[in-house]
Amino acid sequence: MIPIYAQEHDYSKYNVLAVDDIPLNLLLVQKMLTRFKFRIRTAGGGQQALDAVAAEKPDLILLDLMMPGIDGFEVIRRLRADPATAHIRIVILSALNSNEDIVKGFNVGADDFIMKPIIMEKLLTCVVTQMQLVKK
Amino acid sequence: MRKVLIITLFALSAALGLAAQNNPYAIDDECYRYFQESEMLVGKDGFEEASEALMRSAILHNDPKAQTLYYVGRLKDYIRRIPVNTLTTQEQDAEVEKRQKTLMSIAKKTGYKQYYYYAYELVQNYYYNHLKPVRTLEIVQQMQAEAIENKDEYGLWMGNRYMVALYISQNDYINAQKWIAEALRIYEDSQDPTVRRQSVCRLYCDLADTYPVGSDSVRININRAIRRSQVHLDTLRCRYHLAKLSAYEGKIDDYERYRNYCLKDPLISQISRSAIEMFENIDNILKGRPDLVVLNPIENPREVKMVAAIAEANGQVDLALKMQKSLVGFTESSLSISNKSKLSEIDARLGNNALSADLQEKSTKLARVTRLVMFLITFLLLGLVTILTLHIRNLRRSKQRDEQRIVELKEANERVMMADAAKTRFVQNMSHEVRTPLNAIVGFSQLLSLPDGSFSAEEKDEFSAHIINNTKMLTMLLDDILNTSAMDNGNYSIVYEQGECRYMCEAAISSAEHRLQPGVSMRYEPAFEGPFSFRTDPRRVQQIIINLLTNACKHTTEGEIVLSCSLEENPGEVSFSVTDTGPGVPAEQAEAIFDRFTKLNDFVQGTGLGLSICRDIASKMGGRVYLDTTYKRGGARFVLALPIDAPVDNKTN
Repeated sequence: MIPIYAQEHDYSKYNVLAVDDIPLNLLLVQKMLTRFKFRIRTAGGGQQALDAVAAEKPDLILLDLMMPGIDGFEVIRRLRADPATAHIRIVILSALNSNEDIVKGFNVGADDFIMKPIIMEKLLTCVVTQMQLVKK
Repeated sequence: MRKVLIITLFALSAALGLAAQNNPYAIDDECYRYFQESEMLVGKDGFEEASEALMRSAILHNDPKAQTLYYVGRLKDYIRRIPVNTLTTQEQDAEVEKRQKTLMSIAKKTGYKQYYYYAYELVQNYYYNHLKPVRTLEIVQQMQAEAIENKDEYGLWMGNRYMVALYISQNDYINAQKWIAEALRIYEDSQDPTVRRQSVCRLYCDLADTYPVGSDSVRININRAIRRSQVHLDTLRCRYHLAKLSAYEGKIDDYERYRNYCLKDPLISQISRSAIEMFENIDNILKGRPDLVVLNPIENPREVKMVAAIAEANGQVDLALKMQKSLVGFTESSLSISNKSKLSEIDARLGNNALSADLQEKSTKLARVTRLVMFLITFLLLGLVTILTLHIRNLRRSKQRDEQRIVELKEANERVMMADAAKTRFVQNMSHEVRTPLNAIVGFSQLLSLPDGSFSAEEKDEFSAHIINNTKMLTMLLDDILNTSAMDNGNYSIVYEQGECRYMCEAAISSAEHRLQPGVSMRYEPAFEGPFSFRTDPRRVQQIIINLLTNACKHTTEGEIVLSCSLEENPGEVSFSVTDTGPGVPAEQAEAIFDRFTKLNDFVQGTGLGLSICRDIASKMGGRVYLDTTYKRGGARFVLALPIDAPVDNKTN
């Protein structure tokens, strides 16, 4: 289920930030990523996400789009606009599934797009791929 | 005698141009100057040049009247060049008639019909002056006939004037009077402006001359003439007659005053060519010098008659006799003409009467037709105005209707657009709403399906609970959507039976309780003791209350949710109320929240259909669901009010 090359890799030094306004979704993502032993932090909204990034820069952000206040698109825009945070890998996890939303997500600077309901293999593959691209 | 006629007719022609004022012809000033020059030279050398200058000027100033006058001049000039009382050749007559026809055709084209008849007049004079009385009468008859044929009052008037002149010149005063009376009648009855412009003063003067000198009628008619005098020439004519009359009556002072007035005026020659000679004769008689009196009856028989009368009045009987004798001889010589003229008079008279009758009948007919036409026009106009008014009113009404419809359509369009936007929002929202529980179900199921050892038994239990919960949530969501759809299709029934308040409320609470957020409590607190049943659809009531409670749970993060039931809040109704301690509903949203797909907060789960469904069901049961806007203690208070006495029929669709 998990790519062979990823199986023996130590991911503990990677720092992941999951952002979603629905707690259950955050719980689900956490549980799905358990076996990678990432350091996973969570944020319940756009503003909290920006605060968390400011506190400590993550290697990867798993970001929901539809959130009250600052939405996912805006979070990406702001992070990409700041050179200090522009390099952070961002994967969108969203229930929005129209082509426009997907294109818009990539346009503002997302690295990948995963549709809800989340298929676990897809999420893991995507996360591993993104981690490969992060030089550590 | 012929000379007399010439003079009379010349005077008549001059009367057309009357007055010594500047430009009495009302033509262009420059044209008038040339016209005067050419008039002076009529029958003399240099006329051709002067008349050509007039024509050039007339063309230059585009003056049709001046152009007509040019042709008048040409005819007059040719006639004037032939000495009077001579026999004319056929060539001369032909040339005169040629010029007459040219003038007539021009006058017809330019519309100055006075010159049309003036052409007749000139030619008639020409024949008369050249001893062709028959031809003269023929011309008069021709003119009369033409006037009758054309029903032209001016032509008739002119014809009558000639007849008057002819008869007076022949001393046939009886016929002259008849023609004068006829001419007066035409004048008084005429609507023709050309006729109305003519002077009747002259007719009365002529009439005075037809009565025996010394009779009262002479003075009466001269007085009439004075009253009807319009222009300077009229006044002069009256003075001329008054002078003669005064001399006859022996009023020497008056005579001399009038005589001097007449002699001073150069236009006197237009009244009478022999006026100066006549005054000299009268002076000689009055001063007792009868041997100096010149007898020349041909000049003017009327004057000769007058002078004879004056001589008689002054006791010079011999002179008077001599003069009257010469007059008689003159009259006899013209007897043949008189006979001829009598015949023609009868002809003309017949035609005249026929025309008069015709004209009268025609005018009566015309008046009748005019009245009818006026009536018809008035009627038509009234009809038209009415139709227009109605049409305008209709237009205005339909415009109002259109405007109203436009407003209605705009409103409808706005509603449709809003509904459409709401629907679009709903679909997007539903996608999110459905995917959220689905995400949990799919996600946790995947975790459960991982090989043993991945998660502890407790964790697996937790995952299962999440799956079950979210499945329920998804089911409810689907129920909402299906309910709405069912209601839209009309497949929706209310089944009436007895519903007990406490039972329905507690069942609703037990169904909604699990949605309470941590730290929030829910209770039932009726406003009355004991059980209360009423005729309703208990399942629908529970459905609405559960919906209201669920909404309260979603929005209440602390405090409590109270369900109550009252029989007094709305008399005649059972009122269920759900009061929460959540953020409440802004007053301006009190109604909007009942619209389909409208959600106060997009991030609170739900379809936005719940309240809309509640309201629909309540209204089917004859009740209502509303936000209690008087509730101001923080949070929201929704009320379901249902009639205690529900309709008898079991089923309502």
